[in-house]
Amino acid sequence: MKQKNTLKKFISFRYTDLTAVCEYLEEMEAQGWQLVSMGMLSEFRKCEPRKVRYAAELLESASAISNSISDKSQDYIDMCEQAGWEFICNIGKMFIFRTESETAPEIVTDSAEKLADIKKALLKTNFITWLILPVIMIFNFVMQVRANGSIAVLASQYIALATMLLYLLFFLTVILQIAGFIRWYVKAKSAVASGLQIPYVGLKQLRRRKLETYIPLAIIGIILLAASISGIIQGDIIMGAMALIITIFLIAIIALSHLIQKLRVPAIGVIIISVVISIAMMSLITYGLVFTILGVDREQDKIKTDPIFNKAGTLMLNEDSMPISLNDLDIVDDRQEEVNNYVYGSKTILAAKYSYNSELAVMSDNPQGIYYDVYYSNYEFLKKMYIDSLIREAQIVDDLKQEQFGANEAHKLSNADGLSDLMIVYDDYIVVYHYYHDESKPLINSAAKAFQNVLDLS
Amino acid sequence: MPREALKTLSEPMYYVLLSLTEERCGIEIMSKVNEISGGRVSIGPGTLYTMLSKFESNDLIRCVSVEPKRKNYIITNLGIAMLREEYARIACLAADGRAIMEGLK
Repeated sequence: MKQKNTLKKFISFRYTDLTAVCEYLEEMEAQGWQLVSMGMLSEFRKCEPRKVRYAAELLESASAISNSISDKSQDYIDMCEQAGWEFICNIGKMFIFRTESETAPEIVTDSAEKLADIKKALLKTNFITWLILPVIMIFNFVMQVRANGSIAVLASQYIALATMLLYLLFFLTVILQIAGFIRWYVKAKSAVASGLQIPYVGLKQLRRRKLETYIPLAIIGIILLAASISGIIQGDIIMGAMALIITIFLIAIIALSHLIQKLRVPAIGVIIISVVISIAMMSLITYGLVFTILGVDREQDKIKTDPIFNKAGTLMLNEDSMPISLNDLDIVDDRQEEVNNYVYGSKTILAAKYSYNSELAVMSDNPQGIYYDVYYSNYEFLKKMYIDSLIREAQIVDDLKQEQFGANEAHKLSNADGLSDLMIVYDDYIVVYHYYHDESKPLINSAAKAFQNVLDLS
Repeated sequence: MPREALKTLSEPMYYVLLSLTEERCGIEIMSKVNEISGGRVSIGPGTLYTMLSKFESNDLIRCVSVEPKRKNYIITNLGIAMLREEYARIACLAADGRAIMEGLK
């Protein structure tokens, strides 16, 4: 036969969709496609179009993660087969039966029991997504904030913003899912109490639900595609390759879970495979995604080429520029060389934070260096957050005369390690000079003045 | 995991226990329930499966023989006691109502 005899389809469903699954399978068979197996991809075989009844039932005692059939599940299947239902396949706790008989009784005749089973199964299987994952995410977020000092700093990193956005989307989805489930459950419960039909999800709603699965997949796909294309365009082979590897990895995971379901791997095997995949995925995401795909945040040590504020007269915060170097402060003379001068940091649409470092070579009699951070944002609340976090961290805060720096505020922040920082707040910028002590005072004073000059010029 | 103890019997449970006063397998229970209730009560295989495991863990019934694809059950003494109790309760309900209901005619 030249015609296609099998059909593979993606069916997304939840345990509240059992009725819709039946409706769907009945419709498929009426069109001449008979269900063979369900999984990541469900398989259909060509048949004579016919009218049959399908039943999708939950077996609460069955494992949610494995499709292997236990003795207990086999008893259940036997009992249903005796009653005239042919067992087709199972996916987790869901068992699919089919019958041509008009007289075969409904498999579950107690609607209250069915509802209770659905609730139990749903809560059990969503335990990880609804409880564990959010807890891990909140923990991870708190750790990120602590490591960076403030949310204001995170706002200057695209990777942090992207992570926060993903978390937010995830939380939103979870909240919507839980709210949807509660709403449905309350309705269903009162329907059972008054002897009405439980309002199960219908075929139309199931089709809409499919979009909920496709859209996130499409978004991830687009991000990966964009990353590999931009990697190739920028000539960044590693970035392109990483995006490709992750794409292949994701496809491999989908294929593997399809295989796991098909081969009826026992629960313990599924757990082991999942743990291995999670670890691999975590390291890939941490070291791959963070440092390559969202490459904007890769910490780069770049030797300053020229101090741009002298020539251009404007302050440009980008990786190649350094607003104030020792050279600009007339400290470097012919014999001396400026070394270790680098700038790193990142900039987003919300904020920018750069750290600068410049030292004189040791040949000087009095080696000097200047280390400072510049934080910039158009948003008052972010700047306030940044200032507050530094003040909170400091052991002693001394307010200095801000006039000498031509700034709005100036504070000496003494830390636990005995070193002090000088924080100067300008209209748009916050500059923090590190290691502020008496000897470095003249240097920092002139640096602050120079910085003010730059701001005046710009 | 401790099993929830059965305190009262629902209507289908009462009929299933009645039908297990003789040794029966799943499909036989279903048709017997249908027969003794005159078709009023029918019980699906999924519901029956859950009910039988509940009865078995509460020692109201026991599995007497296993054949391929079918298991035969029979009621235990504990199950008979429970059935008697339920029967007495229902009889009491009917007796209590009789005088009044007959007076209505």
